Amino acid sequence: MVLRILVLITCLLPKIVFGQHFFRIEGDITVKEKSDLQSQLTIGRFYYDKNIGKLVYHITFPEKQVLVSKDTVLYHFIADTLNSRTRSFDMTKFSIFNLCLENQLNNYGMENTFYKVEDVDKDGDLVISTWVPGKSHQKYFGKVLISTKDNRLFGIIFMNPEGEIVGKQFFEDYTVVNGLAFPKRMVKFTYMGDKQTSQITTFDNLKLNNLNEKKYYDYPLPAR
Amino acid sequence: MRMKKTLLTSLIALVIAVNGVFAGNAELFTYDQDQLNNEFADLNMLENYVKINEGITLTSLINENNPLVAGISFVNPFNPAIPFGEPPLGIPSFWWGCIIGVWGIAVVYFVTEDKEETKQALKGCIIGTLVWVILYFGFYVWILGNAGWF
Repeated sequence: MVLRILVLITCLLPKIVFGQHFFRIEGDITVKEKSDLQSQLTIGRFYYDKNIGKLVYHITFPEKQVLVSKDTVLYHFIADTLNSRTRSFDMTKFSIFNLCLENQLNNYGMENTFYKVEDVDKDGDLVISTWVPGKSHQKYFGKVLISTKDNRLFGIIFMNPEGEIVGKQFFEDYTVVNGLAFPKRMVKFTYMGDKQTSQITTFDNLKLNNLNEKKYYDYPLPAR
Repeated sequence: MRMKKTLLTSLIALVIAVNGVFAGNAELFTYDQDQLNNEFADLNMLENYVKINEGITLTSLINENNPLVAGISFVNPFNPAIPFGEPPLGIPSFWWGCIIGVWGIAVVYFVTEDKEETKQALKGCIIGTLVWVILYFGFYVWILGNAGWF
């Protein structure tokens, strides 16, 4: 009997010590964006399963529609019918959802890119790491500064090769769901010359490893 | 007394030096929260209204002349900016790979810059190669059969 209990504990120990393996995340999402002339409000729910690799947005406002990002293609459905298929950058790998599930949010997944850490400094309560692109990419890409606060990603600053700031992103209001820390608010600024675009993204009702809602996690895509 | 003074001076110098080394870019990681709230006040009101009135769409708000959307110029976030890559010369990518093989895959890859199209060309290349191998061996079997080897 004692032996059986010991075997059971030995089997369960890694699970207890290392926690759960997260592979699915979903939640309500609201994106508000403002530029000099235009505004944008998008409300819906997102679904992401890192094993399936589809990032699905079930949007309710401005109009009911579904957006699916897989690899470098963005599919747009209206009433479950394919409306358009556009080429885009791979939105899934560097999405906040994938970075969180892969436990790579603290450095924004930069370790797996052509960027290398140049410097790490502490300034007040921020730890700021400076990332520089490899020599072959320095013509088109600039430095990236990543700050963490209390060991959580706080902000990112993107620069162009000339050292000018072209974008800032802040990760705020962290919540912990089943042991996984997730920012409930992201604020992003993009600068193009003297023009600025501001974006606020908020998340709510987050769920991890939901085994239901297969329709959305593996939204059927048309075969080519 | 002099020793104490020297030690204290050294300690102060060390603290200043350490702070100097660590002083960095923290001021870059700031933004004006109040200004942002003011900027987004109209969208925040609209967001609250939409969340209360479940199922409401922008079209219905515009049709009912809702003041929350008056004066706001909305942009369609899902307007396709980059059309999906058409296969080269309008010939399906599968046939590029199937007929020209690896060169067909290269043509599709460089012209469309599209992963899905390139996959189709790869599929075509594999199937084309298999068909070619079967035909090749079938032909030899037929020749050798006629020559009385079997």
